[in-house]
Amino acid sequence: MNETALLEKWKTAPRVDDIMRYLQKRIDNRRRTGILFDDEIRTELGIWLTEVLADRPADDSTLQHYLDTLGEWRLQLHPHLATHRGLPGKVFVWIKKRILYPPLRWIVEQVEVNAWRQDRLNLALLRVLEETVIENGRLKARVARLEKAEADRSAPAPEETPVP
Amino acid sequence: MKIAFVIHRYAKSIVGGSEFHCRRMAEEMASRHEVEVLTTTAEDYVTWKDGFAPGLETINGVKVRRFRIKARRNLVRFKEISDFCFYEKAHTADDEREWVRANGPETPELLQFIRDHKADYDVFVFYSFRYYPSYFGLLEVAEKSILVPTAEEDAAVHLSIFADYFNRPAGALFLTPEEQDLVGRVAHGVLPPSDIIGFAVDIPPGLDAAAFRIRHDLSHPYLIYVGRIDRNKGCDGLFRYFLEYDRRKTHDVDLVLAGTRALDIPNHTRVKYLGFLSDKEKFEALQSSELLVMPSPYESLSIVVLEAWAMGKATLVNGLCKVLRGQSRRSNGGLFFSNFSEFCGGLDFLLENPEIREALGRSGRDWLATNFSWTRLLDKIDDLVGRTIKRS
Repeated sequence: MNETALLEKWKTAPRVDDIMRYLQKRIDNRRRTGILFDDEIRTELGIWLTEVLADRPADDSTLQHYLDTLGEWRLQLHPHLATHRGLPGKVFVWIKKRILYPPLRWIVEQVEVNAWRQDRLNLALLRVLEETVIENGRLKARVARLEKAEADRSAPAPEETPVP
Repeated sequence: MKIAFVIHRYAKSIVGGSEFHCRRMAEEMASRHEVEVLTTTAEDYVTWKDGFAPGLETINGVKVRRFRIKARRNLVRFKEISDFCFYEKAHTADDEREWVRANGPETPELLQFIRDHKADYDVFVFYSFRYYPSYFGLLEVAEKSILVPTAEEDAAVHLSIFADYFNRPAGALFLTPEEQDLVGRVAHGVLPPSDIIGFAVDIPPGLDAAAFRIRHDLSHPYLIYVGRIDRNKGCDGLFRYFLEYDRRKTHDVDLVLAGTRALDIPNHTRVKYLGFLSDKEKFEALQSSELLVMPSPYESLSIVVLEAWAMGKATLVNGLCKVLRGQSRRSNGGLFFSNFSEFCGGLDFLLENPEIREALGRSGRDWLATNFSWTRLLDKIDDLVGRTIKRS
Protein backbone atom coordinates (compact mmCIF):
# COMPACT_ATOMS: atom_id res chain seq x y z
CA MET A 1 0.00 0.00 0.00
CA ASN A 2 1.41 3.45 -0.86
CA GLU A 3 1.79 6.30 1.62
CA THR A 4 -1.36 8.18 0.61
CA ALA A 5 -3.50 5.05 0.86
CA LEU A 6 -2.03 4.27 4.29
CA LEU A 7 -2.71 7.75 5.62
CA GLU A 8 -6.24 7.53 4.25
CA LYS A 9 -6.78 4.16 5.93
CA TRP A 10 -5.55 5.42 9.31
CA LYS A 11 -8.13 8.21 9.27
CA THR A 12 -10.76 5.60 10.07
CA ALA A 13 -8.81 2.65 11.45
CA PRO A 14 -5.49 3.74 12.96
CA ARG A 15 -3.04 0.98 13.88
CA VAL A 16 -0.41 2.22 16.31
CA ASP A 17 2.13 -0.49 15.42
CA ASP A 18 1.86 0.36 11.71
CA ILE A 19 2.12 4.10 12.35
CA MET A 20 5.17 3.61 14.57
CA ARG A 21 6.83 1.49 11.84
CA TYR A 22 6.03 4.18 9.28
CA LEU A 23 7.50 6.90 11.53
CA GLN A 24 10.60 4.84 12.23
CA LYS A 25 11.14 4.42 8.50
CA ARG A 26 10.76 8.20 8.04
CA ILE A 27 13.37 8.85 10.74
CA ASP A 28 15.74 6.24 9.27
CA ASN A 29 15.39 7.83 5.82
CA ARG A 30 16.24 11.24 7.23
CA ARG A 31 19.29 9.75 8.92
CA ARG A 32 20.40 7.97 5.75
CA THR A 33 20.04 11.06 3.60
CA GLY A 34 21.85 13.18 6.18
CA ILE A 35 18.92 15.47 6.83
CA LEU A 36 19.51 15.25 10.59
CA PHE A 37 20.99 18.55 11.66
CA ASP A 38 24.14 18.87 13.72
CA ASP A 39 22.13 20.18 16.66
CA GLU A 40 19.78 17.25 16.31
CA ILE A 41 22.72 14.88 16.55
CA ARG A 42 23.93 16.77 19.61
CA THR A 43 20.47 16.52 21.15
CA GLU A 44 20.40 12.80 20.31
CA LEU A 45 23.76 12.44 22.02
CA GLY A 46 22.46 14.25 25.11
CA ILE A 47 19.40 12.02 25.20
CA TRP A 48 21.48 8.89 24.59
CA LEU A 49 23.73 9.82 27.51
CA THR A 50 20.68 10.52 29.70
CA GLU A 51 19.31 7.09 28.90
CA VAL A 52 22.63 5.31 29.34
CA LEU A 53 23.25 7.08 32.63
CA ALA A 54 19.68 6.76 33.92
CA ASP A 55 19.37 5.27 37.37
CA ARG A 56 19.43 1.52 37.04
CA PRO A 57 20.13 -1.20 39.57
CA ALA A 58 23.89 -1.11 40.14
CA ASP A 59 24.28 -4.72 39.04
CA ASP A 60 22.87 -3.99 35.60
CA SER A 61 26.22 -3.78 33.86
CA THR A 62 28.25 -6.41 32.06
CA LEU A 63 31.59 -4.88 33.00
CA GLN A 64 30.62 -4.80 36.64
CA HIS A 65 29.72 -8.44 36.41
CA TYR A 66 33.25 -9.21 35.24
CA LEU A 67 34.81 -6.92 37.84
CA ASP A 68 32.78 -8.59 40.57
CA THR A 69 34.39 -11.93 39.78
CA LEU A 70 37.69 -10.39 40.87
CA GLY A 71 36.31 -9.45 44.26
CA GLU A 72 33.85 -7.17 45.95
CA TRP A 73 34.47 -3.71 44.51
CA ARG A 74 31.19 -1.86 45.05
CA LEU A 75 31.16 1.08 47.40
CA GLN A 76 30.75 -0.08 51.02
CA LEU A 77 30.01 2.86 53.27
CA HIS A 78 28.33 1.14 56.16
CA PRO A 79 30.83 -0.47 58.53
CA HIS A 80 30.08 -4.14 59.06
CA LEU A 81 31.38 -4.52 62.57
CA ALA A 82 31.46 -8.15 63.68
CA THR A 83 33.67 -10.29 65.87
CA HIS A 84 34.71 -13.89 66.32
CA ARG A 85 36.41 -13.28 69.69
CA GLY A 86 33.48 -13.93 71.98
CA LEU A 87 32.60 -11.53 74.79
CA PRO A 88 35.77 -9.36 74.65
CA GLY A 89 35.23 -8.91 70.92
CA LYS A 90 31.61 -7.90 71.49
CA VAL A 91 32.79 -5.26 73.98
CA PHE A 92 35.22 -3.85 71.39
CA VAL A 93 32.49 -3.80 68.73
CA TRP A 94 30.15 -2.05 71.16
CA ILE A 95 32.83 0.58 71.93
CA LYS A 96 33.51 1.11 68.24
CA LYS A 97 29.81 1.36 67.34
CA ARG A 98 28.52 3.39 70.25
CA ILE A 99 31.50 5.48 71.36
CA LEU A 100 34.06 5.86 68.57
CA TYR A 101 31.79 5.83 65.52
CA PRO A 102 29.24 8.58 66.45
CA PRO A 103 31.79 11.43 66.81
CA LEU A 104 33.45 10.32 63.59
CA ARG A 105 30.12 10.35 61.77
CA TRP A 106 30.60 13.88 60.36
CA ILE A 107 33.87 12.80 58.69
CA VAL A 108 32.14 9.75 57.26
CA GLU A 109 29.39 11.98 55.87
CA GLN A 110 31.97 14.24 54.23
CA VAL A 111 33.67 11.25 52.67
CA GLU A 112 30.35 9.69 51.69
CA VAL A 113 29.31 12.59 49.45
CA ASN A 114 32.59 12.44 47.55
CA ALA A 115 32.60 8.67 47.46
CA TRP A 116 29.11 8.51 45.93
CA ARG A 117 30.10 11.19 43.42
CA GLN A 118 33.12 9.17 42.37
CA ASP A 119 31.03 6.00 42.32
CA ARG A 120 28.46 7.64 40.03
CA LEU A 121 31.21 8.86 37.71
CA ASN A 122 32.73 5.37 37.60
CA LEU A 123 29.36 3.83 36.77
CA ALA A 124 28.74 6.47 34.10
CA LEU A 125 32.11 5.83 32.44
CA LEU A 126 31.58 2.07 32.54
CA ARG A 127 28.13 2.35 30.97
CA VAL A 128 29.25 4.76 28.25
CA LEU A 129 32.19 2.49 27.46
CA GLU A 130 29.93 -0.54 27.41
CA GLU A 131 27.36 1.09 25.12
CA THR A 132 30.14 2.29 22.80
CA VAL A 133 31.56 -1.24 22.59
CA ILE A 134 28.11 -2.67 21.82
CA GLU A 135 27.44 -0.01 19.18
CA ASN A 136 30.88 -0.59 17.66
CA GLY A 137 30.17 -4.33 17.50
CA ARG A 138 26.85 -3.69 15.76
CA LEU A 139 28.48 -1.36 13.23
CA LYS A 140 31.28 -3.84 12.49
CA ALA A 141 28.73 -6.61 11.88
CA ARG A 142 26.76 -4.30 9.60
CA VAL A 143 29.84 -3.27 7.62
CA ALA A 144 30.83 -6.94 7.26
CA ARG A 145 27.34 -7.80 5.94
CA LEU A 146 27.43 -4.90 3.48
CA GLU A 147 30.94 -5.82 2.27
CA LYS A 148 29.89 -9.41 1.76
CA ALA A 149 26.79 -8.34 -0.19
CA GLU A 150 28.96 -6.02 -2.30
CA ALA A 151 31.48 -8.81 -2.97
CA ASP A 152 28.69 -11.24 -3.93
CA ARG A 153 27.26 -8.70 -6.36
CA SER A 154 30.60 -7.96 -8.06
CA ALA A 155 31.77 -11.62 -8.27
CA PRO A 156 31.54 -13.08 -11.85
CA ALA A 157 28.60 -15.42 -12.36
CA PRO A 158 29.69 -19.09 -12.46
CA GLU A 159 29.90 -20.54 -15.95
CA GLU A 160 27.09 -22.85 -16.85
CA THR A 161 28.09 -26.49 -17.03
CA PRO A 162 27.23 -27.79 -20.50
CA VAL A 163 24.64 -30.55 -20.46
CA PRO A 164 26.24 -33.69 -21.82
CA MET B 1 -19.90 -8.76 52.52
CA LYS B 2 -17.80 -6.41 54.67
CA ILE B 3 -14.67 -5.13 52.93
CA ALA B 4 -11.80 -3.09 54.38
CA PHE B 5 -9.61 -1.09 52.01
CA VAL B 6 -6.17 -0.44 53.53
CA ILE B 7 -4.11 2.44 52.14
CA HIS B 8 -1.39 4.82 53.34
CA ARG B 9 -3.31 8.09 52.58
CA TYR B 10 -6.97 8.75 51.86
CA ALA B 11 -8.87 11.99 51.27
CA LYS B 12 -10.85 13.77 48.57
CA SER B 13 -8.00 16.29 48.25
CA ILE B 14 -5.35 13.60 47.63
CA VAL B 15 -4.81 13.04 43.92
CA GLY B 16 -1.95 10.53 43.86
CA GLY B 17 -2.57 7.65 41.43
CA SER B 18 -2.99 4.73 43.84
CA GLU B 19 -4.84 6.84 46.44
CA PHE B 20 -7.31 8.10 43.82
CA HIS B 21 -7.75 4.58 42.43
CA CYS B 22 -8.43 3.25 45.93
CA ARG B 23 -10.93 6.00 46.77
CA ARG B 24 -12.94 5.51 43.60
CA MET B 25 -12.90 1.72 44.00
CA ALA B 26 -14.08 2.00 47.62
CA GLU B 27 -16.84 4.43 46.63
CA GLU B 28 -18.06 2.19 43.82
CA MET B 29 -17.78 -1.01 45.88
CA ALA B 30 -19.95 0.67 48.55
CA SER B 31 -22.92 0.34 46.18
CA ARG B 32 -22.67 -3.46 46.49
CA HIS B 33 -21.04 -4.16 49.86
CA GLU B 34 -20.35 -2.70 53.28
CA VAL B 35 -17.07 -0.84 52.80
CA GLU B 36 -14.66 0.72 55.26
CA VAL B 37 -11.30 2.35 54.66
CA LEU B 38 -8.43 1.88 57.12
CA THR B 39 -5.85 4.59 56.66
CA THR B 40 -3.55 7.06 58.39
CA THR B 41 -3.64 10.70 59.36
CA ALA B 42 -0.86 11.51 56.86
CA GLU B 43 -1.39 14.07 54.13
CA ASP B 44 2.08 14.82 52.74
CA TYR B 45 3.47 11.99 50.61
CA VAL B 46 7.11 12.96 51.22
CA THR B 47 7.21 13.48 55.00
CA TRP B 48 3.85 11.87 56.01
CA LYS B 49 3.04 15.12 57.80
CA ASP B 50 -0.40 14.94 59.48
CA GLY B 51 -3.27 16.61 57.72
CA PHE B 52 -6.26 14.81 59.22
CA ALA B 53 -7.54 13.95 62.68
CA PRO B 54 -7.47 10.34 63.88
CA GLY B 55 -10.82 8.58 64.30
CA LEU B 56 -13.90 7.93 62.22
CA GLU B 57 -15.33 10.06 59.42
CA THR B 58 -17.40 9.57 56.27
CA ILE B 59 -16.11 10.59 52.83
CA ASN B 60 -18.51 10.38 49.88
CA GLY B 61 -20.61 7.83 51.77
CA VAL B 62 -17.64 5.61 52.76
CA LYS B 63 -16.68 5.10 56.42
CA VAL B 64 -13.01 6.00 56.97
CA ARG B 65 -10.97 5.06 60.06
CA ARG B 66 -7.79 7.03 60.51
CA PHE B 67 -4.88 5.94 62.65
CA ARG B 68 -2.11 8.09 64.05
CA ILE B 69 1.35 7.80 62.50
CA LYS B 70 4.19 7.03 64.90
CA ALA B 71 6.68 9.42 63.30
CA ARG B 72 7.19 11.44 60.16
CA ARG B 73 9.48 10.00 57.51
CA ASN B 74 13.12 10.69 58.35
CA LEU B 75 14.39 11.57 54.89
CA VAL B 76 18.09 11.23 55.74
CA ARG B 77 17.53 7.82 57.33
CA PHE B 78 15.31 6.77 54.42
CA LYS B 79 17.95 7.72 51.87
CA GLU B 80 20.62 5.91 53.83
CA ILE B 81 18.66 2.68 54.14
CA SER B 82 17.51 2.93 50.50
CA ASP B 83 21.13 3.22 49.31
CA PHE B 84 22.08 0.33 51.54
CA CYS B 85 19.26 -2.00 50.42
CA PHE B 86 19.32 -1.04 46.73
CA TYR B 87 23.07 -0.93 46.15
CA GLU B 88 24.83 -3.10 48.71
CA LYS B 89 24.61 -6.83 48.23
CA ALA B 90 25.51 -7.49 51.85
CA HIS B 91 22.13 -6.40 53.20
CA THR B 92 19.69 -8.80 54.86
CA ALA B 93 15.92 -9.37 54.82
CA ASP B 94 15.76 -7.55 58.16
CA ASP B 95 17.37 -4.51 56.53
CA GLU B 96 14.71 -4.63 53.84
CA ARG B 97 11.93 -4.78 56.44
CA GLU B 98 13.62 -1.81 58.06
CA TRP B 99 13.41 -0.10 54.66
CA VAL B 100 9.63 -0.65 54.62
CA ARG B 101 9.41 0.83 58.15
CA ALA B 102 11.52 3.83 57.09
CA ASN B 103 9.36 4.25 53.98
CA GLY B 104 6.34 4.42 56.30
CA PRO B 105 3.91 5.73 57.18
CA GLU B 106 4.51 3.75 60.37
CA THR B 107 1.14 3.12 62.04
CA PRO B 108 1.32 0.40 64.70
CA GLU B 109 -2.22 1.29 65.83
CA LEU B 110 -3.56 0.39 62.39
CA LEU B 111 -1.79 -2.99 62.53
CA GLN B 112 -3.18 -3.62 66.01
CA PHE B 113 -6.68 -2.78 64.75
CA ILE B 114 -6.31 -5.27 61.89
CA ARG B 115 -5.13 -7.94 64.37
CA ASP B 116 -7.99 -7.24 66.79
CA HIS B 117 -10.75 -6.94 64.18
CA LYS B 118 -9.65 -9.55 61.69
CA ALA B 119 -12.89 -11.49 62.19
CA ASP B 120 -15.08 -8.42 61.63
CA TYR B 121 -14.22 -8.16 57.93
CA ASP B 122 -14.67 -10.69 55.12
CA VAL B 123 -12.00 -9.23 52.86
CA PHE B 124 -9.06 -6.83 53.22
CA VAL B 125 -7.94 -5.02 50.07
CA PHE B 126 -4.37 -3.71 50.45
CA TYR B 127 -3.06 -0.97 48.17
CA SER B 128 0.61 -0.44 47.19
CA PHE B 129 2.99 -3.14 48.37
CA ARG B 130 5.85 -0.81 49.34
CA TYR B 131 4.20 1.03 52.23
CA TYR B 132 4.14 0.01 55.89
CA PRO B 133 0.33 -0.46 56.26
CA SER B 134 0.09 -2.78 53.25
CA TYR B 135 3.27 -4.73 53.80
CA PHE B 136 2.85 -5.51 57.50
CA GLY B 137 -0.97 -5.40 57.45
CA LEU B 138 -1.31 -8.02 54.72
CA LEU B 139 0.93 -10.45 56.57
CA GLU B 140 -1.56 -10.37 59.50
CA VAL B 141 -4.58 -11.41 57.40
CA ALA B 142 -3.05 -13.00 54.31
CA GLU B 143 -5.77 -15.67 53.89
CA LYS B 144 -8.51 -13.05 53.50
CA SER B 145 -6.52 -10.42 51.63
CA ILE B 146 -6.47 -9.10 48.10
CA LEU B 147 -3.37 -7.13 47.07
CA VAL B 148 -3.43 -4.27 44.58
CA PRO B 149 0.37 -3.91 44.29
CA THR B 150 0.54 -0.84 41.97
CA ALA B 151 4.08 -2.01 41.17
CA GLU B 152 6.44 -0.14 38.89
CA GLU B 153 9.76 -1.21 37.40
CA ASP B 154 12.01 0.33 40.07
CA ALA B 155 14.55 -0.86 42.62
CA ALA B 156 12.01 -1.47 45.43
CA VAL B 157 10.11 -4.18 43.59
CA HIS B 158 13.31 -6.23 43.39
CA LEU B 159 13.91 -6.34 47.17
CA SER B 160 14.01 -9.98 48.24
CA ILE B 161 11.29 -9.73 50.92
CA PHE B 162 8.70 -8.92 48.27
CA ALA B 163 9.43 -12.10 46.31
CA ASP B 164 7.70 -14.08 49.08
CA TYR B 165 5.25 -11.34 49.97
CA PHE B 166 3.67 -11.35 46.49
CA ASN B 167 2.69 -14.99 47.01
CA ARG B 168 1.05 -14.40 50.37
CA PRO B 169 -2.33 -12.76 49.53
CA ALA B 170 -5.34 -14.90 48.63
CA GLY B 171 -5.67 -12.93 45.39
CA ALA B 172 -4.17 -10.02 43.48
CA LEU B 173 -5.58 -7.26 41.31
CA PHE B 174 -3.29 -5.67 38.73
CA LEU B 175 -3.79 -2.47 36.84
CA THR B 176 -2.21 -3.64 33.58
CA PRO B 177 -0.86 -6.87 32.01
CA GLU B 178 2.66 -5.34 32.24
CA GLU B 179 2.33 -4.97 36.00
CA GLN B 180 1.09 -8.54 36.29
CA ASP B 181 4.08 -9.68 34.27
CA LEU B 182 6.54 -7.67 36.40
CA VAL B 183 5.19 -9.02 39.70
CA GLY B 184 5.08 -12.53 38.22
CA ARG B 185 8.79 -12.24 37.34
CA VAL B 186 9.95 -11.06 40.76
CA ALA B 187 7.69 -13.32 42.87
CA HIS B 188 8.89 -16.72 44.02
CA GLY B 189 6.76 -19.49 42.56
CA VAL B 190 3.30 -19.08 41.09
CA LEU B 191 1.26 -15.95 41.78
CA PRO B 192 -2.06 -16.29 43.62
CA PRO B 193 -5.22 -16.09 41.45
CA SER B 194 -5.41 -12.63 39.94
CA ASP B 195 -7.17 -10.39 37.47
CA ILE B 196 -6.44 -7.15 35.64
CA ILE B 197 -8.84 -4.37 36.52
CA GLY B 198 -7.51 -1.09 35.10
CA PHE B 199 -9.70 1.88 35.91
CA ALA B 200 -13.00 3.42 34.81
CA VAL B 201 -13.07 7.14 34.05
CA ASP B 202 -15.93 9.41 35.16
CA ILE B 203 -16.32 12.57 33.08
CA PRO B 204 -17.83 15.44 35.07
CA PRO B 205 -20.95 17.01 33.51
CA GLY B 206 -21.18 20.53 32.05
CA LEU B 207 -17.71 20.92 30.53
CA ASP B 208 -17.06 24.18 28.68
CA ALA B 209 -13.74 24.06 26.86
CA ALA B 210 -14.18 27.46 25.16
CA ALA B 211 -14.76 29.22 28.48
CA PHE B 212 -11.74 27.41 29.91
CA ARG B 213 -9.51 28.70 27.11
CA ILE B 214 -10.66 32.27 27.68
CA ARG B 215 -10.30 31.97 31.46
CA HIS B 216 -6.69 30.80 31.13
CA ASP B 217 -5.78 32.97 28.14
CA LEU B 218 -4.92 30.02 25.89
CA SER B 219 -4.99 31.33 22.35
CA HIS B 220 -2.65 28.82 20.64
CA PRO B 221 -3.13 25.11 20.04
CA TYR B 222 -1.45 23.22 22.86
CA LEU B 223 -0.12 19.90 24.08
CA ILE B 224 -0.98 19.21 27.66
CA TYR B 225 0.76 17.46 30.52
CA VAL B 226 -1.34 16.78 33.62
CA GLY B 227 0.14 15.41 36.83
CA ARG B 228 2.90 16.06 39.32
CA ILE B 229 5.55 18.20 37.62
CA ASP B 230 8.51 16.22 38.80
CA ARG B 231 11.83 14.80 37.61
CA ASN B 232 10.56 11.30 38.49
CA LYS B 233 7.72 11.85 36.02
CA GLY B 234 10.12 12.66 33.19
CA CYS B 235 9.18 16.36 33.13
CA ASP B 236 12.79 17.60 32.91
CA GLY B 237 13.17 15.52 29.73
CA LEU B 238 9.87 16.83 28.39
CA PHE B 239 11.06 20.43 28.88
CA ARG B 240 14.34 19.71 27.05
CA TYR B 241 12.54 17.99 24.18
CA PHE B 242 9.82 20.60 23.85
CA LEU B 243 12.15 23.63 23.90
CA GLU B 244 14.38 21.99 21.31
CA TYR B 245 11.31 21.11 19.22
CA ASP B 246 10.00 24.67 19.52
CA ARG B 247 13.36 26.12 18.41
CA ARG B 248 12.78 24.54 14.98
CA LYS B 249 9.42 26.33 14.59
CA THR B 250 7.84 23.48 12.67
CA HIS B 251 4.44 23.94 14.36
CA ASP B 252 2.73 26.70 16.25
CA VAL B 253 2.04 24.85 19.48
CA ASP B 254 2.32 25.56 23.24
CA LEU B 255 3.05 23.22 26.11
CA VAL B 256 0.51 23.56 28.91
CA LEU B 257 1.21 22.06 32.32
CA ALA B 258 -1.28 21.38 35.09
CA GLY B 259 -0.56 19.86 38.49
CA THR B 260 1.55 20.26 41.59
CA ARG B 261 5.00 21.71 40.89
CA ALA B 262 8.04 19.87 42.25
CA LEU B 263 10.47 21.10 39.59
CA ASP B 264 11.42 24.49 38.11
CA ILE B 265 9.39 25.21 34.98
CA PRO B 266 11.29 26.94 32.13
CA ASN B 267 10.46 30.60 31.79
CA HIS B 268 9.43 30.51 28.12
CA THR B 269 6.55 32.10 26.22
CA ARG B 270 5.53 28.71 24.83
CA VAL B 271 5.36 26.96 28.21
CA LYS B 272 2.32 27.78 30.33
CA TYR B 273 1.73 26.57 33.86
CA LEU B 274 -1.88 26.55 35.03
CA GLY B 275 -1.32 25.32 38.58
CA PHE B 276 -3.46 22.68 40.20
CA LEU B 277 -6.80 22.30 38.42
CA SER B 278 -10.13 21.07 39.77
CA ASP B 279 -11.44 17.81 38.34
CA LYS B 280 -13.84 19.65 36.01
CA GLU B 281 -11.14 22.07 34.81
CA LYS B 282 -8.75 19.19 34.21
CA PHE B 283 -11.23 17.60 31.80
CA GLU B 284 -11.86 20.97 30.13
CA ALA B 285 -8.11 21.39 29.70
CA LEU B 286 -7.91 17.96 28.08
CA GLN B 287 -10.92 18.65 25.89
CA SER B 288 -9.47 21.83 24.41
CA SER B 289 -5.95 20.41 23.90
CA GLU B 290 -4.55 18.90 20.70
CA LEU B 291 -3.14 15.89 22.55
CA LEU B 292 -1.79 14.72 25.90
CA VAL B 293 1.91 14.13 26.37
CA MET B 294 3.08 11.76 29.12
CA PRO B 295 6.88 11.56 29.55
CA SER B 296 6.90 9.42 32.72
CA PRO B 297 9.27 6.43 32.58
CA TYR B 298 7.64 4.67 35.57
CA GLU B 299 3.90 4.05 35.65
CA SER B 300 1.80 1.14 36.88
CA LEU B 301 -1.25 2.77 35.28
CA SER B 302 -1.51 6.30 34.00
CA ILE B 303 -5.03 7.44 34.90
CA VAL B 304 -4.60 10.73 33.05
CA VAL B 305 -3.82 8.86 29.81
CA LEU B 306 -7.12 7.00 30.25
CA GLU B 307 -8.84 10.34 30.94
CA ALA B 308 -7.41 11.81 27.73
CA TRP B 309 -8.78 8.85 25.77
CA ALA B 310 -12.14 9.22 27.53
CA MET B 311 -12.17 12.77 26.08
CA GLY B 312 -11.31 11.38 22.64
CA LYS B 313 -7.78 12.81 22.65
CA ALA B 314 -4.72 11.10 21.22
CA THR B 315 -1.64 10.68 23.41
CA LEU B 316 2.13 10.78 22.94
CA VAL B 317 3.81 8.80 25.72
CA ASN B 318 7.24 7.66 26.86
CA GLY B 319 7.81 4.35 25.09
CA LEU B 320 10.53 3.37 27.57
CA CYS B 321 7.72 2.77 30.06
CA LYS B 322 6.39 -0.69 29.26
CA VAL B 323 2.96 0.08 30.69
CA LEU B 324 2.41 3.22 28.63
CA ARG B 325 3.72 1.55 25.50
CA GLY B 326 1.47 -1.49 26.08
CA GLN B 327 -1.60 0.66 26.74
CA SER B 328 -1.00 2.68 23.55
CA ARG B 329 -0.62 -0.47 21.44
CA ARG B 330 -3.65 -2.24 22.92
CA SER B 331 -5.94 0.77 22.58
CA ASN B 332 -4.51 2.20 19.33
CA GLY B 333 -5.07 5.48 21.14
CA GLY B 334 -1.68 7.14 20.76
CA LEU B 335 1.98 7.04 19.76
CA PHE B 336 5.14 6.67 21.81
CA PHE B 337 8.73 7.90 21.72
CA SER B 338 11.96 6.65 23.19
CA ASN B 339 14.32 9.35 21.91
CA PHE B 340 14.25 12.90 20.65
CA SER B 341 13.87 12.00 16.96
CA GLU B 342 10.84 9.88 17.77
CA PHE B 343 9.39 12.66 19.92
CA CYS B 344 9.70 15.13 17.01
CA GLY B 345 8.55 12.56 14.46
CA GLY B 346 5.50 11.57 16.53
CA LEU B 347 4.54 15.14 17.35
CA ASP B 348 4.95 16.32 13.75
CA PHE B 349 2.86 13.40 12.51
CA LEU B 350 0.04 14.03 15.01
CA LEU B 351 -0.05 17.78 14.34
CA GLU B 352 0.15 17.40 10.55
CA ASN B 353 -2.60 14.77 10.42
CA PRO B 354 -5.53 16.05 12.51
CA GLU B 355 -7.91 13.43 11.12
CA ILE B 356 -5.60 10.57 12.14
CA ARG B 357 -5.05 12.25 15.51
CA GLU B 358 -8.80 12.37 16.05
CA ALA B 359 -9.16 8.76 14.91
CA LEU B 360 -6.53 7.71 17.47
CA GLY B 361 -8.45 9.58 20.19
CA ARG B 362 -11.70 7.88 19.16
CA SER B 363 -9.99 4.51 19.14
CA GLY B 364 -8.71 5.11 22.69
CA ARG B 365 -12.18 6.13 23.82
CA ASP B 366 -13.79 3.02 22.30
CA TRP B 367 -11.18 0.74 23.90
CA LEU B 368 -11.82 2.35 27.27
CA ALA B 369 -15.59 2.02 26.95
CA THR B 370 -15.32 -1.64 25.95
CA ASN B 371 -12.87 -2.73 28.61
CA PHE B 372 -13.24 -0.47 31.62
CA SER B 373 -16.66 0.24 33.08
CA TRP B 374 -17.40 0.25 36.81
CA THR B 375 -19.83 -2.67 36.43
CA ARG B 376 -17.17 -4.73 34.71
CA LEU B 377 -14.52 -3.83 37.30
CA LEU B 378 -16.77 -4.61 40.27
CA ASP B 379 -17.83 -7.92 38.69
CA LYS B 380 -14.16 -8.87 38.31
CA ILE B 381 -13.44 -8.10 41.97
CA ASP B 382 -16.51 -10.01 43.18
CA ASP B 383 -15.50 -12.94 41.02
CA LEU B 384 -11.92 -12.95 42.36
CA VAL B 385 -13.12 -12.71 45.96
CA GLY B 386 -15.58 -15.55 45.32
CA ARG B 387 -12.78 -17.72 43.91
CA THR B 388 -10.16 -17.03 46.55
CA ILE B 389 -11.59 -16.14 49.93
CA LYS B 390 -13.52 -18.55 52.14
CA ARG B 391 -16.16 -16.72 54.11
CA SER B 392 -17.52 -17.86 57.47
